[in-house]
Amino acid sequence: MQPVSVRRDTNAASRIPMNSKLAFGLRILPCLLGLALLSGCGEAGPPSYRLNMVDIAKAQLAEPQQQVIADVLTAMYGTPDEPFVLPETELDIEKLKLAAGPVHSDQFGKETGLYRRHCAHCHGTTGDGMGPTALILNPYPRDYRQGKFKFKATERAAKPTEIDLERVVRHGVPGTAMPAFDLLPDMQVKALVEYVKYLSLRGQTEISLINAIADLSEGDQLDTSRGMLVDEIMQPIADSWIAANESIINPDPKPEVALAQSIDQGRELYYGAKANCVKCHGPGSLGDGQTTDYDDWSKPLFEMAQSVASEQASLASDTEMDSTQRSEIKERLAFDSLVLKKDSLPPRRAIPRNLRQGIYRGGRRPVDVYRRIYAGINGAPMPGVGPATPGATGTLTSDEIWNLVDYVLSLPYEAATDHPPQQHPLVSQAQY
Amino acid sequence: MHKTTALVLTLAGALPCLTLAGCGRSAAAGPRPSAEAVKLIREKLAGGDAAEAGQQAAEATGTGWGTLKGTFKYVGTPPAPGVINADKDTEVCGKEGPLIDNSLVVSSGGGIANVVVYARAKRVHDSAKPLEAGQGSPVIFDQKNCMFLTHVTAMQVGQPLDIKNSDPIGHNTKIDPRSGVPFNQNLPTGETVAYIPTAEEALPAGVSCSIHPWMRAYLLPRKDKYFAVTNDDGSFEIANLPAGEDLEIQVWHERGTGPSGALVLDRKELKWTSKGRFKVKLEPDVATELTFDVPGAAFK
Repeated sequence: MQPVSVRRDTNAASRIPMNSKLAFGLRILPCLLGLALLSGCGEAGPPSYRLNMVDIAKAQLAEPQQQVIADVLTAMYGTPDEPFVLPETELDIEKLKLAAGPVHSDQFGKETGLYRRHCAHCHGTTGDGMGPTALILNPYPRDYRQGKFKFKATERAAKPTEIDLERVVRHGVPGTAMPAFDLLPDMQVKALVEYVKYLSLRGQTEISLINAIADLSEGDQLDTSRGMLVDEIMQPIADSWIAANESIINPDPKPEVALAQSIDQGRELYYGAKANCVKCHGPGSLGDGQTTDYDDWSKPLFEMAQSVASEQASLASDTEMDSTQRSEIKERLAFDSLVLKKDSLPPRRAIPRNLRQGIYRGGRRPVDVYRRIYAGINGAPMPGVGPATPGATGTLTSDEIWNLVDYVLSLPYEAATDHPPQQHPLVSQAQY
Repeated sequence: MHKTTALVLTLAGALPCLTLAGCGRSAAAGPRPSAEAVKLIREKLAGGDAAEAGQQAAEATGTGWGTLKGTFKYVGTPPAPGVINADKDTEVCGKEGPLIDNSLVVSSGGGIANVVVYARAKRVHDSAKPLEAGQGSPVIFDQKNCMFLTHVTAMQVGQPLDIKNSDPIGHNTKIDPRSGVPFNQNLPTGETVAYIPTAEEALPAGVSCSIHPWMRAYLLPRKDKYFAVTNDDGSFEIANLPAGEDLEIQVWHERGTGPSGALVLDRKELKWTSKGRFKVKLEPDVATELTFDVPGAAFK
């Protein structure tokens, strides 16, 4: 609203003849006006966290409820300049203070504001993956708020361990814009990892709060007691972080077979209807099989955009609807569109990895690839083949997963023409 | 010279106005925290207010148990269901004719299938009590010709969901609950993989297959057994609900216009809300029957 009205003033001023003192006054008026408005534009104070407007719009929460979310989150987690954590989170506030706040170093060379210095321009102040550079990056920077991380040593739904996050910070993510921060002192890396956990816990708490408010009966208020906010909402999420080390995937030893034989068995599995790799990664392993799905970050946005579009279409074709209902729907759709435009990045399809490039985002060690296949990739369409729950049996054995690891790691060295897919007996029964 | 100065000044005036457009907080950024409210909440959080922690939902007031029955009917002519563009594994997926979009299934008599009706009850009858993990009988969830055979499934937390693959090709099953543990498993031909929901969901969770993106189903795990999915004729029945007290019933349909698919009807006498919930007071030992006429505008 504001920019529009200001521009109108500017135009009005420029139409006035420029031959008097009054005109001069009028000419600097927009300048003063602009400055006055600028100071009230929200950036005058310290930086603040953005609300998760996409989830708020989906739950159709009204403004007073949005206010409760902003208040509760600030009470529980502080602000970007002054982080705060409850002892139940088991997060280290000293580390958080190194990472938080504006970029600064004191006369002894002690640096603070590490997150804003190294991370925020891509991952955003809120950790929503919407920093200023996010839009031009592919893949987008990780949005921590869902509490989902892809490249980790743990079971699919489990949180990453501290070592997992440290590895990503130190070594970066090959094939993406995430650089290696290996030159940072150990303490700084640890502080950044703690801060990522803090932002993620904060973001997931926000989603839980939104869900809890959406679940209330008409007219009820969110219970802001400690029992509700800490025990019911925050603690289960904090506990999942604390328990991450208990969910590490420790593969059985690799079977003692000749590498060439293991690769052959892996190839059989890749093309077969048991492991199904070929469906998504494609007959040539170029990542060109199923390319029309979305990941857990883009999919809700895609579906929301689709539903806005279809509702708009049916609104246009429905002639019987009364005007109050029509304007209510219009208002909601306009808000949803605004949120999609301003508070989210355009959805992008999840493209399966091209396995011939030899670039492994989650690490190139055999154990890294094993864990990717065993648990799948959390947040991505890639399914797991290991046991879905502790004690269950997986759809592939440990030996079979190792065969696949050998095959996958051999693919960059195998000429694409060595095993033309159309000659493979298992491929002909299905089309891609 | 004077003119140039004027121009520069005007431009200087316009500059902050222009930067305003890109100025941090978006138009949809929502309210800012209020310092006073934050202080109050933080005091509560630090205080360990044990007294308040025991705060319970309103006491149950009624006695006895009743049954809720009902039928959902489509008003007017429903839109003809579309044909799915099943362009993967066509030898299997299109084997028995084209796949039909089943997001809105209306019978010849106008009954709407796959509406989920569930209660938020304060009292729970013995026959509807929550289960221990793995205690209940398994619920079969099969897929054939690249379609899930049950489009909407309601079940109890703790019951195993046996996910089967009756196709000669591989699938994967991805379940995205909001409260429970997310799930995405590879599903070879002829195999069965179990998923045991660990948490109650407020609204049905999406189930999908990443290989065949048109495959879509919904799963609602609830703690108690107060739920029903409407049959092909649009009817449902929930037995042994608490009688004699205000009972809140949630209604959901995949294409409902309320939040996350809540079905919103204009039924003031039932106090129907924008969250797709209505209130009813059941008589003990009697089946209360309701009819729900659903206009096309209630669907996306």
